[in-house]
Amino acid sequence: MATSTSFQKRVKAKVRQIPGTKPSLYNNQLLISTGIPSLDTVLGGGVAVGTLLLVEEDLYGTYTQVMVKYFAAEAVTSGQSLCVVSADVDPNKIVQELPAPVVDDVPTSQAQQPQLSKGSGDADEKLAIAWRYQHQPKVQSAPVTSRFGHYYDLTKIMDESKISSAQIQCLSYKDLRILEETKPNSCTSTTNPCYASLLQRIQKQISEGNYGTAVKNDHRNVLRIVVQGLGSGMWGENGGAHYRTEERDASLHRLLLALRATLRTAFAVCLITVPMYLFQDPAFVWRAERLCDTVLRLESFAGSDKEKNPAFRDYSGLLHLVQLPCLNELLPHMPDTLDLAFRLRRKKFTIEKLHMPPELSETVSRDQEDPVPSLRPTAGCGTGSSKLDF
Amino acid sequence: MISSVNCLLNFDSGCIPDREFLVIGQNGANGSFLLHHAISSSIKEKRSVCLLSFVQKLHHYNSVSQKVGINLQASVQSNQVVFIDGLDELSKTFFKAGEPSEKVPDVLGELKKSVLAALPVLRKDGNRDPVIVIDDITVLLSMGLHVADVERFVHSLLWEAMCLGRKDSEVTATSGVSLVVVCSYMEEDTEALALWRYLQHLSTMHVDVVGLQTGYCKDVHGQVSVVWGDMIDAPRLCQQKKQQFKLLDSGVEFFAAGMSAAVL
Repeated sequence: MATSTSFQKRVKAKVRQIPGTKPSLYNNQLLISTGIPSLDTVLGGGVAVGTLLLVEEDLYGTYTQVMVKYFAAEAVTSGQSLCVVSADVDPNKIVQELPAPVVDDVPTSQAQQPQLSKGSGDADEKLAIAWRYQHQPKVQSAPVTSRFGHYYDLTKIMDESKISSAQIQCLSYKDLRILEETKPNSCTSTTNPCYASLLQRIQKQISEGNYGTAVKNDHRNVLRIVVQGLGSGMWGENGGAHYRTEERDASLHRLLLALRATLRTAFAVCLITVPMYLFQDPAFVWRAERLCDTVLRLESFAGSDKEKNPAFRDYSGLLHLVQLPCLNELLPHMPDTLDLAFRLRRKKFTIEKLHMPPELSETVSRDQEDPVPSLRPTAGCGTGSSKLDF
Repeated sequence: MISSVNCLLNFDSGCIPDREFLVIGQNGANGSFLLHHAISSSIKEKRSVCLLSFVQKLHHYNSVSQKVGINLQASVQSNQVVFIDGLDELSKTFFKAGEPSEKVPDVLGELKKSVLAALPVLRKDGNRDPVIVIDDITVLLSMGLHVADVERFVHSLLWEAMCLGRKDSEVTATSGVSLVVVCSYMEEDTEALALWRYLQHLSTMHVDVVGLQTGYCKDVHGQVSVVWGDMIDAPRLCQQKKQQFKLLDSGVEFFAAGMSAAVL
């Protein structure tokens, strides 16, 4: 029974902050960014470390591909390790086509340094007025070394030098097949061998890179795992039925559960995209969703009737929040509205609110005054100076 | 939180009564507050708890119980609570030591064994009779286990645990093990639905936590309906109660349907 999980309360003073992370405002969890700041906001700040994020792909997978690239690019920009797995496309190609971060709004540390020293010099001078404040501790705004969440420009490609300096591992269909043939693991005959080799690779990487919570590590880093198109034809998934025998095949669900158990005791986050529209059985999809922590579904307008709907003119598709994680807390993050849409523009991909919800919540202070007083019927007869006085 | 849920479930003694089999159904809503209540209130009332979880690690339950003012970690150390990491046990079945065989190993038998082995340990330190809590039995179905096997697992666990209790507690005749099981289900999943129906039939009381028909709402998080049936060894008046709820940061608020503070 492992008592240590990745959801450690931050009791001890951290010696060194893990790059690209921040603690959650709602619970004491370490969050990382998805690379899309608007999506982070919707999810309650970011994705908690040690959890499984499932994205149900849109038809053709166009927009999911963009999300995957953002997620991977954020790992490179914030100096985290990355592992890209894909059986459908070449994972190396995904890595080569990562979008470049927009660097203009981030002040470089060199530019910031003289400003800071100048500011502290001013403060050392004797105060002519308000001298009571002279002995007060000075507010030292710590220089921001690692920012949380970056903006990316989809028209530019990230520098090759940046990519080559990052810790990236790619697993293609071939790599998964090699393990399958040697079969070092003894899985049961109904278990999908591709899944077995994937799980084994991930577990190996976590233990070799010292990402486990049980391991003491001074230079702690977060491992981001991206599995693109899990459960597509290349993986040999058959929607819950074994492809050769009549038996049922719960391999995908067992993989998700095993991944969840693995991630819980590691400084790792896994993004899985699954083409759920391939599966006919809603129970199969529902069970898979229940085994993940955060579940998003992308619904693109491409080829659907919604494309012609004037209400959706500005958007590329809808984002459904199927499940939000409930970790270390009774009350999960509850966004204001679930009516969300995504938009892919030339340079960036954003999540936006479709429309505001009706103002019915208790938390919102409602203005009881009617904005148009002349139209408001008065309680008694002939008391007001209204035109409708009778 | 403890008092409001006790009021909903008619738990006069402050926690779940002896020999009660409570089933919590979840359909499109988060009913975990009932589970956390069952754990926290039992610890508070000096009952021992055997927690078998297939969805979360111990740290999650510890964090939630701390919000209610209960230290679960300390209770684990003092042998009042035993935590069985079903998540880990199930994930281990992915790779099996030895040569590959056709069959999935007998997970359910192993799990039952470890639960039953934990019960005498819990009873030792002068705590009251244990409550066995199982978080989300539906995960077992997702693992490819047959619904009949899962049903048999719960049924046999219930009876074996109770018989174990009777043998040990000859002095106090009123003692008995209680069981709390969470079961997620959904209309399209026929197996999960069948399991939920069976557990309903087996239970002494069941709580159904469902989402609102009108969809997502920030201020009303779902509807609970509690149904009391016969007790294990005595008949009881069949009662029913229906309320809506809103989860708070460290508690839960109940109100009659349509009477949320947000709409009044």
